[in-house]
Amino acid sequence: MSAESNQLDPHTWVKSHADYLYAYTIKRIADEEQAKDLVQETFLAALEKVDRFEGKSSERTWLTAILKNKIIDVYRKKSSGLRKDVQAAEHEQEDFFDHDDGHWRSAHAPQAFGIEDVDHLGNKEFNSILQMCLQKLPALWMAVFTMKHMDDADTTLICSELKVTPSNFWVIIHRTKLNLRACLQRNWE
Amino acid sequence: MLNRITFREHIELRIHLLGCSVCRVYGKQSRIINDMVRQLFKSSMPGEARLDESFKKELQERIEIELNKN
Repeated sequence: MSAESNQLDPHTWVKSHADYLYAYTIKRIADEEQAKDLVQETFLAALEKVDRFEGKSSERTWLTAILKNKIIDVYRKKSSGLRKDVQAAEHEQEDFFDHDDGHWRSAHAPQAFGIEDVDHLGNKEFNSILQMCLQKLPALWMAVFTMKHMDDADTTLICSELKVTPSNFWVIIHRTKLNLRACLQRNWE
Repeated sequence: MLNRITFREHIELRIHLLGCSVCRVYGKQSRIINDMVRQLFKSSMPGEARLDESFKKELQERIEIELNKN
């Protein structure tokens, strides 16, 4: 059974899709044990939904959609609560700009650090630093940013799933970018 | 939802960017980070993360048990 089949064959699911689903998960949730659990939960949930599979997508696409919802559940759980990590990250950024005129303070002003003119897409070392910086983000920021970029998820969906307002969504995207840029500059130079 | 900036704001932004090299560096890096994050999530990167065989064997066995229940 190929990965693109439009028929379900649970007897070959692990062989055909487990590694793919695991790699998909580990990129979004850097926790090996949790990623394994999610892959297992995905197959078990899929078994319960087999009757509802209409064959409109491939087996892999269908399984990935189930997994994606489970990943969003994890994001939602991780990012709910007091959000102290968000407060700490926001506090860190208070020094980035002059409170009077809003301009960058020289100590935090962006500097060219080598990504501007060289194509680093696909550079393994750079990707690992980028992933490390993503993992350091507050859970809510990581969730919003990942959902936005992982599948270009609709803003309305992200806001409703993670319970943030549309204006707060854009603030989070902006703050996340500031945080990532500073982290990359610190670690790549 | 936030609205797009107005024409006047767009002109003001352009003028600001002309005199703000730091802002131009930030803008460029911001676009590059977007591209790199997208690429990171969308690339398949085969073989980078794989499950161990014993876990996969147990997982398929678990699936077979569930299938046999029905």
